[in-house]
Amino acid sequence: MTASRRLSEALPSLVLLGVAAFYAWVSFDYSAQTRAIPLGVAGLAILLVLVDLASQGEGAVARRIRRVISGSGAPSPVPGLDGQAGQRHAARHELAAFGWIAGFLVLAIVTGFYIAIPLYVIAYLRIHGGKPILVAAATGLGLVAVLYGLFEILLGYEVFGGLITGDYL
Amino acid sequence: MAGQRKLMALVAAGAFMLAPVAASAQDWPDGDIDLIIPSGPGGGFDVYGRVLARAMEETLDVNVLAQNVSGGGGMRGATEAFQAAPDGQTFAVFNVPGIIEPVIQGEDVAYDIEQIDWLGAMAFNQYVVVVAADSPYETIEDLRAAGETISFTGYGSSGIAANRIICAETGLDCQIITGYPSNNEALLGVVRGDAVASVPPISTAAAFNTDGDLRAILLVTNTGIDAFPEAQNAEEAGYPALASLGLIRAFGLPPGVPDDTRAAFQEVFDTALQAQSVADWVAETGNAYDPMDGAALSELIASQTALLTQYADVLAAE
Amino acid sequence: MGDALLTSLSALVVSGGVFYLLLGTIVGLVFGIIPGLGGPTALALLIPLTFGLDTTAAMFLAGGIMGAIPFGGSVTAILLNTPGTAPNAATVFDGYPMTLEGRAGEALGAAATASSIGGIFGILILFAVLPVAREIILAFAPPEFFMLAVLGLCAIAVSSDGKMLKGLIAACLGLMIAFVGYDNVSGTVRFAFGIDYLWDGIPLIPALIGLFAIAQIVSLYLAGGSITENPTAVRVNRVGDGIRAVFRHWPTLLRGSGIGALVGAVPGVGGTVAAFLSYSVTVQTSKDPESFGKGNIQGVIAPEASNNAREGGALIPTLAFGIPGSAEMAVFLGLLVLHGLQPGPSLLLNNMSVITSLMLSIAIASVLASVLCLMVARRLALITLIDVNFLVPVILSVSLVGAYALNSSMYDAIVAVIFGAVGYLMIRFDYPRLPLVIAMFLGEVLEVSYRQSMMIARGDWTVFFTRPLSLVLFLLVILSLSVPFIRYLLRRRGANRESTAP
Repeated sequence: MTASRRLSEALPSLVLLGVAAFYAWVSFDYSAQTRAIPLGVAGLAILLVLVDLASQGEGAVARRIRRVISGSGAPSPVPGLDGQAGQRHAARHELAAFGWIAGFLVLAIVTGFYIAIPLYVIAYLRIHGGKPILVAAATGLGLVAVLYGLFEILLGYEVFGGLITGDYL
Repeated sequence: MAGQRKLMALVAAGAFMLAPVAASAQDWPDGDIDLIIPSGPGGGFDVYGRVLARAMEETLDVNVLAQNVSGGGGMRGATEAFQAAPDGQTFAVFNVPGIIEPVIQGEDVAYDIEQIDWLGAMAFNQYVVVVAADSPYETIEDLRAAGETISFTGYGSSGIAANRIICAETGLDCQIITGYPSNNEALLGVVRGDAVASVPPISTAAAFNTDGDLRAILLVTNTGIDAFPEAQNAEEAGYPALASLGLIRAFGLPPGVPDDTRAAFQEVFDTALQAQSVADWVAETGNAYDPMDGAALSELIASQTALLTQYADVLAAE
Repeated sequence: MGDALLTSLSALVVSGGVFYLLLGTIVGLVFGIIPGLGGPTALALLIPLTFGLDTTAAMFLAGGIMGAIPFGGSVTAILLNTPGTAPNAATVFDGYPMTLEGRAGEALGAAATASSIGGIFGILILFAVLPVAREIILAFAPPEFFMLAVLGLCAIAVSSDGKMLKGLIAACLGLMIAFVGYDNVSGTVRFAFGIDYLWDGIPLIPALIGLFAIAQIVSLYLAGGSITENPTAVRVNRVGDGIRAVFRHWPTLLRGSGIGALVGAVPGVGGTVAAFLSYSVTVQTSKDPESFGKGNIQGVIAPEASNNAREGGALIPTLAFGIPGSAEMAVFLGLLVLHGLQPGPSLLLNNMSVITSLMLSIAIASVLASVLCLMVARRLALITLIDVNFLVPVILSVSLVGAYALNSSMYDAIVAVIFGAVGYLMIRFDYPRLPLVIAMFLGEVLEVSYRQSMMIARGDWTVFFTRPLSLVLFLLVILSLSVPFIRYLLRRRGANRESTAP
């Protein structure tokens, strides 16, 4: 296992370590009573992440830790309660997935849901899904019609109209 | 950045051109009216707001839509209401004294209480000091005579602030057990023995007390209250200044609503405040109901601010 | 109580209550199915509509919603790995793997049956308990709440089999998130970094929408194709198998209902925790814990029975003391007050028929929602054959509208997206999401009740062990922590016997 590979495997743990340490540091701003439990939890998190880091890999120490914690020295099984854990995809695809989501969110903030939804649905189906434009338009407009009917007509509730109409976030 | 600013300017200009140059009273209301409620659905401010909204709809052709803007002890709602367009299409319930406290503590707030255009208030929920029914204490004097730290269950920043001020004014050595998620749970804490006493709003205590679990030992008002006939009031006990403490269900407009729109709004508001549906609701639920005009409300807010300012150091101490 | 029940029945049948009950059930199903919209939102949005109705009709409407929501939420949990409401999140762990195997019809059948029976069970418990509700509620003080929260966390942490360490880390992360915002005990705002929005903490529902619905959108986007790759399996109608499975696994059903009603009654802990606890207890007591998370039907039955039973449980403190057992009940309290009813003991004395109407409609709606859904279950299961390119934008749009709707705040939608990233990263790096969610739900109760206990006892920590009920709960904590160890010993003994056999 190369050093860079090992570093990338440990990256999530290192990030968690940083988050917990930052959290503990911030908690010192508060009075003793107020920070006691958050500080304790952050400390526990740091400890657990360190043990987790030490248990990764194939060394004798790592194996021994795994034996104590999970009763077997084998690397922990990949599939878990989530039923889909451990899947791997190219980082490029993962970023694209979040790109679409973030794009929709920004659009909704600016223009409101009733404009953002059809634009996003049509663009997504056309560009990513490669669907015919008519199908894409029908899906987008149909969805907005259903939501509009449910909220504005049935419930008399105003859904976010976007910064352009002066709505507050 | 420059492009963005240009876009904002364009949007602002567009909005300006769309807006009527001077809204006249004939144009009001121009579509549905928004009522900003500074708490989540189901709470006291929500219920009062919705009851008034319903009463206003009886005289208006448009809907009065309640919008819950919860957060920051009412500050988020107050901020949004304060910054709303002054066209009479948005008004709000304000959490008093929730919006006063941060000002006194010197926090930065994005509203100015003196500039809020008060319409009036529906209720002034004053407090009562209660103990469990089987407690040996009958008056606030008994508590002081006990000569030890008295524990209280407390809920909400306003309730706890009131509790601290009452303790300071009556010279009680108090420990307030905080963290209860509602007044009812704080009262339940007194019944099951978490603490000796609590300081809930009178109407909450009365509604909770249908089984006679509680005894009132000091009404923090200058009048008597039917639900607790034997309790002393603040004047009798010698603490009349405490009577300005209380939660006010206040309504107001953002500053700068044109005069004629404002007058039309006030008329609809006043009619709603006296509506039969409101009276029926009060009679059925026993909720506090103390209709108050804008002037009386301003005065009450001023006296409350004075009392809170006087005890600012007690409130600031953790 | 008998008279009141008769009054309610006649109102239901004679005075057209059926219409409101049916309307409530359908609204409940729709709000349950749509991710992000749940009980609190449905009730909050309906409050203005009930103005014109008399109180009994309003109760039929509210009861219909409350009874139908839990099952509605399980439909998307099973078919799309996206819980329709927070408490359904536990259903995804086995419901979705069943869908992947083409057993969606079976899972829906099991969920529907478990929901119906759980709903009726919860209402029966409520009936039985109402006369002694006062005493039960008074027995729970801060030390007991603290132990309950610890029990919940421990039970969940040990059920992340083979990933206990990462499970505990996730739980710590969840607690850290739960402590953000206004500290109810000292009045200090913590970890808000000057952002006003964070004063009230990180909202649970939007976070949950992110962790499950949006993380699932990302997974679907990356996987492409359709959810079930095997169309012939889906067309086979196996709803009946699911219904029968519920009766075959009746201990799971009863345990799930019991946990739902009991834990649902604890204010501040509530339905989501109940469903997760019910799931993890089922895993822990199973002879074959490894089969969970891979499509074990008991993993659907347990949380779904709990979900509907919790409504009955949550009503106990709501009706007896005006203390809401859940977010949904908090909104319901507002509805009661608007209709001129003051919750508390007087309500039980003076307005018994209002209560019986509500109970009756929750029970009927639990069954009705299931039946309505089973009639279309086969078609619903076909969703899993749709090209995910359609599902992704539709689920995303609806989830974000749902995240926005409860508090009318776009910040909530932003939180949902951020937690979508957190949820996806957790899947990606193999951290279980279950302990994170439970810790977020229990963090406040855990901390506040600990600090309250210390204040009440004036710093004497033995308070947790000198109160009988608290001590019992503590022993349960020890027991739950030793379950994996006991199981390990049993397994080893079994293995030894096998290896020594000739």
